[in-house]
Amino acid sequence: MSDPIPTLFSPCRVEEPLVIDDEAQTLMQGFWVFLMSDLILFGIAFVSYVTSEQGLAGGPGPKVLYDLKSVAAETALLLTSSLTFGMASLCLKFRQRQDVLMAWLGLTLVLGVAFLGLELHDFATMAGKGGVPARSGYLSAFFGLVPLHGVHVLGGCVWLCSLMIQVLRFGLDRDTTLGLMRLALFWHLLDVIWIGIFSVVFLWGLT
Amino acid sequence: MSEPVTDSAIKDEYRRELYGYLRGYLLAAVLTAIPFYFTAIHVLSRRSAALVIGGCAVVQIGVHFASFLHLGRRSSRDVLIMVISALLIMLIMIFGTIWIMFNLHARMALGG
Repeated sequence: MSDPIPTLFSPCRVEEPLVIDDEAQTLMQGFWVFLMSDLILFGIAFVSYVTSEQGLAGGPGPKVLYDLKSVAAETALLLTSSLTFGMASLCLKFRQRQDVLMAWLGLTLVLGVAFLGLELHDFATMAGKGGVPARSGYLSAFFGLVPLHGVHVLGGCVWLCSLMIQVLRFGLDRDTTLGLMRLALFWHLLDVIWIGIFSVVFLWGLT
Repeated sequence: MSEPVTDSAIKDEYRRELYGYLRGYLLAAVLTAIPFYFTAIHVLSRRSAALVIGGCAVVQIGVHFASFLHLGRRSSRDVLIMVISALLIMLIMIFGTIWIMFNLHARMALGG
């Protein structure tokens, strides 16, 4: 093992990257199977939204209910959380200091929770304007798609808390490391799904 | 595989991966800002807005898969096949459903 190397970009040092063995590779591939089935689930929710978008039934429509500034803020939070999780993945791979890793993970958690808070605030505003799921086919489809993503983010936050506790309790052993690698994929995929949501639902709805 | 790993090689790899994330983040931010800007100022027709929003979304999804999910030439073949099949299934389901539902809608309208 070589000595740790100081870098220009980070106050901490990098070491020889982690090697992924065959067994870990198989675990990660299994997780990809789950991710892709989850993606197909979202595809169905998207299509039910697109086919129901005109079904207002006299209720409030997208232009009344959506708030572009709020969606932009949510998008910024989620995109930045993807970057901070990426920085955590780098710390993990190059075996940097554990407290730096925990700081990046903590920042990711804060951004994820802030996203959820803003989204709940948006749902409450919509409900205040009469935009509740039972009002029309369009609103049912909206609340079938967007909160489905929100619940996934919530799940990701719970998983992240659990892994941070495991890092503190057991250190970066094999299970914790592989857990963080899988959560990273899950987290980045949620950001990909959000691109679809802000484009199809919010931007197109406000055009 | 068993070549000795030199310090500078590790540093280079670290730097490359760091830049990969930062590049992905910047590209994604620009590709997000463009459609938000055009939606906010309301200057485009619905057709060109659809092109801008759809085009930026597709490119940004590609950027995310490459920069954050590290999908590329170095990924395992199994993962690539899985992703491509999932995209194919989604494509068939999404376009198939939209086609049938809007076709039905048009026929119902014609029939009165």
